[in-house]
Amino acid sequence: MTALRIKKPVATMPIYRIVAPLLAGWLLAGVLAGSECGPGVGACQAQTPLALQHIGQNIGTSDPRASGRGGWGMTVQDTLAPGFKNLAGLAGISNVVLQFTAYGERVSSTSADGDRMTFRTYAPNLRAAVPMAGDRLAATAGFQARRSSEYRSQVQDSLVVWDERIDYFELFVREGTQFQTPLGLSARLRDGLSVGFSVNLIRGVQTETLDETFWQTTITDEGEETENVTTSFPYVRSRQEQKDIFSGTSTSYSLLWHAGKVKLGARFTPTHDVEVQRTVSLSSVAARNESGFTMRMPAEWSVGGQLRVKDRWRLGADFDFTQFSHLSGRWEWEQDMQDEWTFSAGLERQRANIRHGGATNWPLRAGFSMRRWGYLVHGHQITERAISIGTGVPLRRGEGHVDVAATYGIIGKESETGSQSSFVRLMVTVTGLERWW
Amino acid sequence: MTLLVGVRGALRMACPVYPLILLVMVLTTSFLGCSSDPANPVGGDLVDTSIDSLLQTVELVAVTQHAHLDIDNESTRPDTAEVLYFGESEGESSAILANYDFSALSDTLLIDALVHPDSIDAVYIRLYVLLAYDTLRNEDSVVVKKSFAVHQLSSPFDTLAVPGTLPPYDEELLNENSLSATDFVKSAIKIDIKENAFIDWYNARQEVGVVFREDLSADIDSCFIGIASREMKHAASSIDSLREGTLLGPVLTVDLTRDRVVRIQPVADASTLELETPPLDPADGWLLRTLDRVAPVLSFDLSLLPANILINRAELTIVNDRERSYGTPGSIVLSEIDTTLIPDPVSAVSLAALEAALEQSTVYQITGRSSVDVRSEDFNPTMEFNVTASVQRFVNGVYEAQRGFLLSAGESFFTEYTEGTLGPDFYLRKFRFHGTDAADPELWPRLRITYTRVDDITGGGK
Repeated sequence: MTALRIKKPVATMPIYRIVAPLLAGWLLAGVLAGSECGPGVGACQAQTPLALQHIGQNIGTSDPRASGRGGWGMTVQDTLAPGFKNLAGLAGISNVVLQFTAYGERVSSTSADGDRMTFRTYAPNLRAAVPMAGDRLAATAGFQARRSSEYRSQVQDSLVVWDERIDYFELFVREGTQFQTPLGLSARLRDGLSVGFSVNLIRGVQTETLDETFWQTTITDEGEETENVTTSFPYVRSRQEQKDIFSGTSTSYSLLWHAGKVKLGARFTPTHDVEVQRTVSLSSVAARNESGFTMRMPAEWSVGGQLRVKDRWRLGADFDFTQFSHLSGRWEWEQDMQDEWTFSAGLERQRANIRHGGATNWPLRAGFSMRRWGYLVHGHQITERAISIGTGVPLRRGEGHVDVAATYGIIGKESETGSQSSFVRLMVTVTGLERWW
Repeated sequence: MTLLVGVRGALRMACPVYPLILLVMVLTTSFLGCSSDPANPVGGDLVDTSIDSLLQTVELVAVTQHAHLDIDNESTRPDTAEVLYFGESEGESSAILANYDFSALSDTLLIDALVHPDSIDAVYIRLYVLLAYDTLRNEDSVVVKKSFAVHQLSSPFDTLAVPGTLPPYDEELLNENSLSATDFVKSAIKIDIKENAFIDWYNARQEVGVVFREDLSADIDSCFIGIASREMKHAASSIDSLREGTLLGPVLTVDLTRDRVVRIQPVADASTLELETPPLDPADGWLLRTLDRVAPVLSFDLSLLPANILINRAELTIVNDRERSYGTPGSIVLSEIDTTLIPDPVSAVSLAALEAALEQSTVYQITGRSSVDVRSEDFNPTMEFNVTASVQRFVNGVYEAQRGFLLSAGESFFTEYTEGTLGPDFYLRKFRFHGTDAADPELWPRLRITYTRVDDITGGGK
């Protein structure tokens, strides 16, 4: 059973209704890109500590519909619930689509030094798509967060200065998001075969801050206390900041093939360059060091398959692969980089529209994923395992839908990587169709 | 109204998903961020970055500029000072000069007295000692020993020539050269004057000058004391137990029989203030003085520091030479000063110009100390000033011209450390600081700097 399709000849649509959402999406993305900051970027410290190093954590989640079934989405071709992981799947849409995704996440991290609980909300996706020539051609634009490093760690140490013991807290903060704003086209070449193409404007900023706050330890009758004074004048804190601003462009090519009960999808993003502008500054010091270098980002492949097992039931899987072992331009990372891959698989019962069907109409999703991160920590690889469930509800008159997903996962292994995190993520997407324009 | 109807109509026509998406977007973006446990060592082992050089130390003792400002308060003439200073201290001295005008004196009581000399009981001069120097006498004994030698000047002193060297005077003493506890009446010192001298002055009907100098051959204590001048305006707060209407200054008093008294106030009085000149060599130290103002400037060779560093702490230390310092408690203000304002080792500048420089930020107040009392047992001669922000500005190249450190008194234009009306024009105060000839290097002035360095920035930032 195919999803309900609202037929509306595009020829009757005013041209502004095609151009406006694309332009809005692109301009919004451009503004976000220009500001070096996306909506997913915030002053936030809630992520796994394993994201403190290297390229950061892959947060390339798509939407709750995909997340709920483990993450697979390369073979989605749905006019009412379009997916954006494989742009080739957009070719058949007949409505203007705007999709906004956000999630809340709780991460519990443990290491030999203790535990820490962090929370954050995040808005990693804002996507728009517009049909352009019947159900054969569609255009898309948007914003997509891809990698994030948001964590802070604080240790205490001491120095002897002028024959006086000075204790200090060293706070290391790494924060930033790398994101892209894709502008793409999707075309249906013939029944069962669609292709997609996008130009991705890559932007991002990553800041690493070391903040040293000095304290004097005073011994009292009751024991040891810390106070923020020294025996003489206080020491001004030292704060070093390294800020990397990323900019680049990539292209992506995608394909979706459909025959009978089987759908196959693929996507390829060739190697591309990302320019990095680095600024190193020290608090209170007027001078700063500015430099630039080029990161050669590796190619990315994604393949996926979907099998219609029974009426509304779909079984699917994706495999994403990024050849980070070929990353170059960051010598301090290169020795620890390795290829990153993600395998996701899951089952979905698609939504139905049976009159008085009640809960039986609801979509149901479940799945799991396994990801090997793109770098080693303490010489060991980081594995991220997650299970997820999801569902969704349609809005009135088929004018959109709300999807939710819950994911539980574990990242790393304390005995190997020093830290281990478990996370619970609740994701919601609101997808609006045609009418709200 | 039409617009409202149109908007309402549009909203009514809109499908529910529109406000829903908007609501979700607004709520979500509003709550972007997080509330997490405070940062702790979790993840600390994953941080492979550190600041290159944290809390490095350097101590600068090489003084690149040694200078003094000779500050003149043009708004106050020396002969109109409220306080007269008397005494001797470590080669410095100050005598009191007073001019009495007998040319226009026609007191009938005196005329009668001179017709009948037996009617004069005593002639003396009373000096009112400031409260700040009330340790001079303690009940029945003299604690601080002073010796007043009073002479007649060869001619009345020139009010434009003070302060300066002692003018010529007759060797003959006009008084008994002694001072005992009985010479004190409350806060006043009574110095007897020979009656014949007074009669001669009166008969001559001229202006007469008198000098009160310290007899260095006598058994005296080396110090200065402050005495009210005829211009004293703050007697109520600076002189103890003073009767209302009391004439101030070195008042010549004639006690007549039958409790009749004639008081003659000087027409001019001043201090000679033969004081130390500012040292010209860093080895000789620095001098900060009030009244006859001198303010020291010193700067250090900051080229010894690496470029573009963060100053965590900079501490200027100067050590007071207590043996050569004196005076009442007062403020010391530390400022930055544009060294182009000090072309010479001793550069004259007016107090008004210094205030203007402060307003123009060529002088910038950094910090200071209040109620510095070199006479106190608790006084710590090692004086430290926090100059962290200043040194950071120097390192950052904020100023085109080089800047040094200026030590000055608590002038009225220095906030927080001002001494008010009983300030630098009132009290004579001297802070002497050790120079580089001190045997103990701990006594030398020094700038102790603690800094942080980042190689990327130090090694060629822009």
